[in-house]
Amino acid sequence: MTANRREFLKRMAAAWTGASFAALAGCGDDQQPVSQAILDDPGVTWSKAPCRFCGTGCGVMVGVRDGKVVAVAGDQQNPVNLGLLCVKGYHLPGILYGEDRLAMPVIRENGDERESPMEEALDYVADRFKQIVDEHGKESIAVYGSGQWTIQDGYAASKWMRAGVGNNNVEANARLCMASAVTGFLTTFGKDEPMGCYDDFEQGDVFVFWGNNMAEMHPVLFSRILARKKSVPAVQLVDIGTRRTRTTEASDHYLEFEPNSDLAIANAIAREIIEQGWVNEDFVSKHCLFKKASEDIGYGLRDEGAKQNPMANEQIGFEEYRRFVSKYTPEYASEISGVPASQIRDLAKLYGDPRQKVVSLWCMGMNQHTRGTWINNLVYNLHLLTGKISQPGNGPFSLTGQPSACGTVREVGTLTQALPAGRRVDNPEHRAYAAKIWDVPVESLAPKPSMHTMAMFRNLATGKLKGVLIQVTNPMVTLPDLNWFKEGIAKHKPFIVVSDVYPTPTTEVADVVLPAAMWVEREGCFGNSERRTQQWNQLVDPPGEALPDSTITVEIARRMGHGKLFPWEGEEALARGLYEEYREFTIGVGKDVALYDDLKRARGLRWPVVDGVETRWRYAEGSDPYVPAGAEFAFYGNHSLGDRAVIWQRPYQEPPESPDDEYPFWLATGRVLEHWHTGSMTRRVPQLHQAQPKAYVEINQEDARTMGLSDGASVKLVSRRGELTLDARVGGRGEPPTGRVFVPFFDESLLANVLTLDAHCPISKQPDYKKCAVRLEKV
Amino acid sequence: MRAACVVPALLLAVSCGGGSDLALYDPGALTSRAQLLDARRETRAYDGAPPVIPHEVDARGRQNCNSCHTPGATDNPARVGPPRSHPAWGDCRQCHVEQLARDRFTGSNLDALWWPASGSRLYSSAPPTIPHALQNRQLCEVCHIGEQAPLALRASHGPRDNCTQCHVGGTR
Amino acid sequence: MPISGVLLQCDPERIAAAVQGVVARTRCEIRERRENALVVVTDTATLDADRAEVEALSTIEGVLAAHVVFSNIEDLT
Repeated sequence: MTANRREFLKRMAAAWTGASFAALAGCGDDQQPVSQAILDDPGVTWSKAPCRFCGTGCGVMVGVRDGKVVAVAGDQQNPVNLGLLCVKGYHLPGILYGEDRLAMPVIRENGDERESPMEEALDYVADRFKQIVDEHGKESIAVYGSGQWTIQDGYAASKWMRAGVGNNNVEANARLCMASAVTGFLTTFGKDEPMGCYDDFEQGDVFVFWGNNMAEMHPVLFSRILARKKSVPAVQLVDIGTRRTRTTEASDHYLEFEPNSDLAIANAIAREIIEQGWVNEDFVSKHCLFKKASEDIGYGLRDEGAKQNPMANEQIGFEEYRRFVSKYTPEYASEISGVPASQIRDLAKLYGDPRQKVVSLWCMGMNQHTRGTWINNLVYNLHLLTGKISQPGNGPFSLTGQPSACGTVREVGTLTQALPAGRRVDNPEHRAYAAKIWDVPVESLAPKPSMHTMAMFRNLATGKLKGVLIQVTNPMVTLPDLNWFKEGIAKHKPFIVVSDVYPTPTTEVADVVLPAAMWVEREGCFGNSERRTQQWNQLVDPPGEALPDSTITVEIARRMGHGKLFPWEGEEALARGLYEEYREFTIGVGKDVALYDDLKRARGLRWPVVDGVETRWRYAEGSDPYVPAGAEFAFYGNHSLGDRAVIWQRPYQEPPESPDDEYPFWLATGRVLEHWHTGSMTRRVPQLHQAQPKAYVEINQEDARTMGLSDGASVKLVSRRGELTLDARVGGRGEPPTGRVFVPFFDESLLANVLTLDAHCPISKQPDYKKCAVRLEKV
Repeated sequence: MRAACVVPALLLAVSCGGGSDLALYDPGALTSRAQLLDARRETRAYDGAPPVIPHEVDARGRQNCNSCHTPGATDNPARVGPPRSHPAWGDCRQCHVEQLARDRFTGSNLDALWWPASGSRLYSSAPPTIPHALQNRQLCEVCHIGEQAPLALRASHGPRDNCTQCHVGGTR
Repeated sequence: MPISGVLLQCDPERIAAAVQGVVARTRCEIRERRENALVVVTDTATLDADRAEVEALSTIEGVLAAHVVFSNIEDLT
């Protein structure tokens, strides 16, 4: 290399590195504004908003010109992403402007279909709901919403149904994605949501991915981990998966496991931690206790008989727990899982070594699981036994899929059993508190949980539930064993009202379709995976007669005589009013969300926010204002257990359906980077559609060879429930091992869920989309 | 306003070791700025969006994008790999995606933001202002200086060390 | 011989110490100095030495984190 070239390269190195400084400038400092300049064009105004897509909650600067969104840029001031987005985030402008955007309500009645002005459509919906309630009682209608609801949308829906109509038929699609994470948190810690925050990514030494493809599903967070590894090459990434993915390619170690055997692997690591003397005895003796519970709990199948109550439990001692877990030797776990015992030992060593800060990460692999609650408990066990929790870079991190499954569904409480801020409908004190804030007689609040999502849809499909309002979600693509539900609904014809932004298979079965305002077409708040509540203002008008989902709900409620519950006039007053009333519930119970005006100014704030200061690590003295001085740690969600976290004894069990001679392949379903969920938004963006135009089935190269299938060949998948013909994808970005296939669910014309099984974790009620049995037939 | 799905006749069918019929355009061959900017618009949703990958890539494994797309990656000007205009993030394909199809799921009414072709000048020989955003584009030399820069965008004067001493704008 | 551009995030109160620490290393040059960061270019003989240099930079007093932003290894044999 010549001296000139050498000098040229050094100049480039300096220039590049200097330029990257801007990306780090906003690091972790909400209070000090960096000049927020995107483009010197007075015709374009730029405003902050969180991304519409995943649970990462990246900050976006939205460019508006002439009343339209024309561009976005990464928000360099937002500590979540420091100016970086992923391909979906960069294509946000496109999601608002698909040609077939819904703008006018549609009413389908007596075989006829007509467009209708919004006022009339709302009158019609309210009349029909009133009729149904008069005829069949107040338990006969329901609302089914979403982890993509804003906080305001969820609060309005929950208040309407509980304080207005008087039932607990309030559910959301987060039941299908995060319920096991919730019950995992509640059974271990007594309170929901992670104790760590994204700051952990810059501090951890070992990052373990338990069955999640973080490179595609939380790409911006994954980039933070990659940056961490680049600056400290000793950092290790461990991918525990059932198939190779882009996450595997970036990882240092890969443990490929037999589906469901994660239960055995986690137990084996706990066993090693104990037997090798790596238990943090001080931490365990001061801050933990041990429990066991019923084990014959079934799989939530439709035709299943009675099973033991999965929540019935008793406290045990360390010795009994140790005896239980001692049979999970690495060899035993290896027999079950197919993972070499040496790999299990090596991973256990990383958990056990006090010098290694370990962050465990997971999402759908552990949550969409018929033992989802158990596997969440088991990973917490590893962090509790070693005391690696609630410290920077050291702790378990349950990643959330949707942008506001945390902020709305879990925190506002839009699940049947919940009241805002972690309260329960079946707790008389909690009901009394809600009745006070809502100014309704406490007797009018239904005292028991009524139906979880799968029960709700089973009731719709069998005629027991007569009407439902569905918002911001697409169950006619996402329900497992889809055909059973479609047929039942077609037969019993419940009254279905859907508000959405584009035509979908769900709007197809609706009696009334109401056009909804989307993202920055309305004001709102989301809450992301790290407890950061973020607010955005309305930046552009929605099309035609479209309204925000919360306004639609409130207008229906008013017409049904529940107007007193919503005393705010105008969109801005409504957005602020709903948030501020919800906020009252959160104060003083460890879920304190920030003042609305503080959210407007900041790039979000992580609750509990006390005296304007956010909390980074919960349950740790000095970081969490709820932990008293001298306590070191306090898991105050378990106050009745002495502020101790629970280490649960949970066994390995087999899943309800495994491959056999007739159906010899495992089927897993999931997402891809380019598409969000059922694709209704992202497929309408040309660059994203063209990147992944249609669904396919990933097949192992050897299996493909054996069957004589090449990349792109047609193959039919058949399960006990349905069949689906797909193009084979061989040698793509993901590869399952032999005997397994993977199908993404973004394609409404190739419905993966006609194959899947309606089974769920009996504790969380969350279905398992990752495991059922299929056979492959060459077409 | 240009519709997003018009395919300009200027795209050349140059392939990058894959024989793909999704064409790659050769910015070196486009001498007019207007042509170059038209061709650029075909590969992105709006100005500021990450361009799509206009050539085939190996779906498997971690392709080393850097081997062609780092400034100074090669001394050979015949290897046309637009250098990265932003610092190295960890995962190229988190933002830049291949295109496996040419059709549409639905039409799009996106009114995309396109930067003006050139900045303004106070008088005819004044240094033009910067007409584009600087986020992810702080390295002027990558597009504007030296042999790596497309002819149509190459600076009329030799490399100087501090572009923004004379060229202002881009961001306030 | 690898040439790398390394961004050192520094504690503004201890940046002087950070500068001393970098200057003491013969394979590093400070190319830019800001209130809470240093832009450093390294020029080492092997990939291992390059890695070791970055590790060493990250441990200098006053340095919070070292981020490798640019790396050229074209003349490694």
